[in-house]
Formats: sequence, structure tokens, C-alpha cells
Amino acid sequence: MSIIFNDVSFKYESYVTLQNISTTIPENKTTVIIGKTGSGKSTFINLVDGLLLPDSGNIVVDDSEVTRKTKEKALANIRRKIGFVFQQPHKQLFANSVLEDVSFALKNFSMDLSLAKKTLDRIDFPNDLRENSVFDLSLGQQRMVAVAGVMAYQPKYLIFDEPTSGLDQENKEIVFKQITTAPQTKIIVTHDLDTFLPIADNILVFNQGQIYKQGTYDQIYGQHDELISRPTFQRVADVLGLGVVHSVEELGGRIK
Amino acid sequence: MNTNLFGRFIDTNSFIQRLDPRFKIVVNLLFTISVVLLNRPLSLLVAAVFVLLVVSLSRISLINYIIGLKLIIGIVIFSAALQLVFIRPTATQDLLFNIYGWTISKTAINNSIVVLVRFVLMIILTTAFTASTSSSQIAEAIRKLFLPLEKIKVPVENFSLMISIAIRFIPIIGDDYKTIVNAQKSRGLNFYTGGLIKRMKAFYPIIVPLLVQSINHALNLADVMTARGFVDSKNRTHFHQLHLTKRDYLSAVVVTSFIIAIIFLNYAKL
Repeated sequence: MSIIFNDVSFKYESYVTLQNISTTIPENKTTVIIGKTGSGKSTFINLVDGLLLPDSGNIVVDDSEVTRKTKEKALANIRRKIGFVFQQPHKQLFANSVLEDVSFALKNFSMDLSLAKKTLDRIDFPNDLRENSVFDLSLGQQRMVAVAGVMAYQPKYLIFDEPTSGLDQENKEIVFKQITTAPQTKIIVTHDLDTFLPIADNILVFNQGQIYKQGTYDQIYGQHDELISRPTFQRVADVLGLGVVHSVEELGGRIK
Repeated sequence: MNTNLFGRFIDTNSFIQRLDPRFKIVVNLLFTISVVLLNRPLSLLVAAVFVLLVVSLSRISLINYIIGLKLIIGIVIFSAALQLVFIRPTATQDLLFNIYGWTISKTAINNSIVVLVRFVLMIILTTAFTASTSSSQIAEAIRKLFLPLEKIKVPVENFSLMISIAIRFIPIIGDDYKTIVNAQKSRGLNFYTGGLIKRMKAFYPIIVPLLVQSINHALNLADVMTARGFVDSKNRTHFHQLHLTKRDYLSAVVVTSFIIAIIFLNYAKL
């Protein structure tokens, strides 16, 4: 089972955001989605979670199909399988305590509430802060709580929209550990290439509402010998808005 | 391109757009007051002609106005339908139907049509003016119109700055709202099933983070304004300078003529 896009297009009013997208998100792998701002990455993941519906084509999540006509009840069932961590996840916090906020989804899905404590234990969230108001926490702690709130209900797929944006190095490492130790199929939208490309099993490069390139790291950036002439590498760098690539260094078998 | 105009400014450089925003606010107010008084078909027809003239001069297609009406059509129809419930027949000849004691009269039907037409005309005219006026111009116009109240110590400058900032933040709060709703929906929040109380409780996880975000925006803005030298609204200069032109004076003559005509047609013994 996996997530399959079949010739999906989407537009906001008259602006075409995604055009004829066909791809498969492989199960039990980490897919990293990259591209310039406005290239359609966020629209793509919103379609996966049924927060937007395709104008044409369909999306299949395991055996459930999402089209323009899919009803809210069917979408709710699909969302049970998908954990979505938004770009500023601390914005969704509302409860009187950390434990209560992490339990929110468990209550909605009628699951065992002890999973909230277990999830907080797993991410080493301090015990003495668990009864505190979520608004008394630091930004990094709020983000941990928000991520925990999604992981607690053990979705099959996890989507992260810019998980490390605005974080210092220490908090970045905490969030990175939360992501990499999660056993689920992961989809990560990011501009933080240095952090997430090395862990990617599958990379989607978006450009102007279409998938420009798709594949493994080596398939996207080419083998080292190709980099000597660098046309592939530079073309991808152009799509990502990275500017002219002046130097190439080998780093542990990967090209930096 | 067909668009919902509600709450939007569309830059068309039309005749209506180039009118002074103070003039548009005053005309809108006078027209609204006048239309509320109208109950005769002929006067409503002339009012409709005025509104259609404004629509054509706004260079925005009528279809876009109709799309905008969809948002509030429920309230409009409800208001019109109330006439059918509360207006009783004035005489036997006035009665149209009697359904298990619920009487519907010709007067009630006339009144409901009048209410419907009044609402539609007021909404279309207001939409034409707001779609043709930027929010900063609206704020500046309100400030200028209420400025004489400063003489009686009403802090007009501060209030107009508040209005201007509030208008500016409507789309930002709207984006926050959408993000929060999506985040909570993806965690299984359900607005669509359950009784009224359960559905109302479902808004708690939306309202709390939205309020927190709004307060954060306000605190951040206060810091930014202070860092850029803001102390008080008094003695600040203004980006928009409003001046009445020949276009406004000519339009004033036309508008006054229309308003006199519709009032006359409504009350004169013709």
C-alpha cells in the first residue's frame, strides 16, 4: 500500500498550482519534497491529507480514493491514517496542559489515552512540564508537543511541512531525532537540504506546479563523474533557486 | 475571471474607483437610508437603475456581484421570509392562502419581495464601493469624516489607526484561521456530526489558538511600531491625501437627483 497520485491537477481560482501530477509515495520510505517557494509543494501535501480536493485526477491512499467528489466522512477516515505536522505547529496548541493537547487526537479517534504519556516518554519530554499550559513553553518545546500530538495516534503516514524552519541548531536536532526515529512512512517538505537530503530514500523536485525530477539522491544529482560537467546538478540547483554552484565537495560518499 | 468580491479590492482604474472615498461612504449611507424607506415598485426600479449605473461604471462584471451575494443569500431570504410569518392579512381580499391556520397575504408577499430587493440593492452598491476602494483609503476617509469630533476631545486619530490596522489584519487572521482549522481537522476534529452543543464545543480548539495568535500579532506590531518611532497618533502625517475633484462634484449632483427622485416616487400621490 502507498500513496498514489494519478494525473492530479489543482488550481486556486484561476491560478494553476499543480498540473498533471502522477507519482507514487513508496511505503516505509522517507520522501523529501524540495523546490522553490510557490512551486506547489504545500499544495501537494494538502491534497494528500484531503485538506484540498483535486480538480481532476485522483489520489489513492492505500485503498481509499480521493477525488473532487469525496465526502467529508471519507476524508476523515483517510486523515486517521495520516499525521500532518504543519509549518508552524505550535499555532494549533490550545489545551490547558501538554498532556491534554497530546490527547486531543486520541479522544477524536476514540483511542487509548495512555498513548499520550507513552509518546511524551518516547520523545523524552520533561515530566515536570507535562501539566503546564502549552503557552508557557518555549517555541522548541511547543513544537515538540505539536509533533507529539500527531505521533500519538500512530498514523501510518507522517507529513512534515518545513519541520525545522525557524529553529536553532539544538531544537533542530531534537526535531530531526523525532522524525528519524518515527517508524512511519514519511513525507517531508523542506528547504533544509543539508539536514534532510541525506536521509531521503525518494526525492521529488517541484518546479512551477510540476514534478521536475523524481528519484534517489544519485538519480537527481547525478553520479560524481557527471558533476564534473555539472549540467544536471546546475539545472536542479537552478530549479531550487540555489544560484550558481561554484564548488563540489565529496562528503561521506554524498555530494555536498 | 469570475471572483467573489466580498471584502476585496479590485484595481480597475474605473470612474467609481477614482471618486473620493469620503464621497462614496456618504453616498452609500444616504442610499441605504433612502432604500430602507422605499416600498413602491417604481421607486425601487429607479433605485435599481442607479445601482446598475454604479455597477457599470465600476468596470466589474455583474456576475461577480451575484457570486458575492451567494455568501449572504441565506440571511436575505430569511429576512424576506419573516414577512410571510409575521404579516397578517389586512382584509379578507388580502388573504391568499390559509394552511392549517398559517395565513399568507398579498401584503406579506409584497413586503417580502420589497425586503429582498432592498437588501440586494444595498449589498450590491456597498460591494461596488468597497471593491473600488482600497482598505487604506477607506480608513483615511473614515478618519477625515470624523475629524471634526476631535474638537470635542474624541480621539479620532487613534480610532482611525485602530480601524486601519484591523482592516489590514483581516486577511492575516483569515490565513491563521484556515491553518488552525486544517491542523485540527487533520487531528480528527469533526464539525459535521453530533448535536448543536457538541458542534459548538468543536470550535474551542479553533478559537483558543486563534485568539492567542491575534494577541501575538498585536504585541509584535506594538514592538515594531515603537521601534520605528511611534508614540501617539497625533501629529502624524498621512500617506493618502484626499481631495474632492470635479468628478466628485458632478457625481454629487447625479446622486442627489437620484435620491430625490426615488423618495419623490415613493411618497408622491401618483
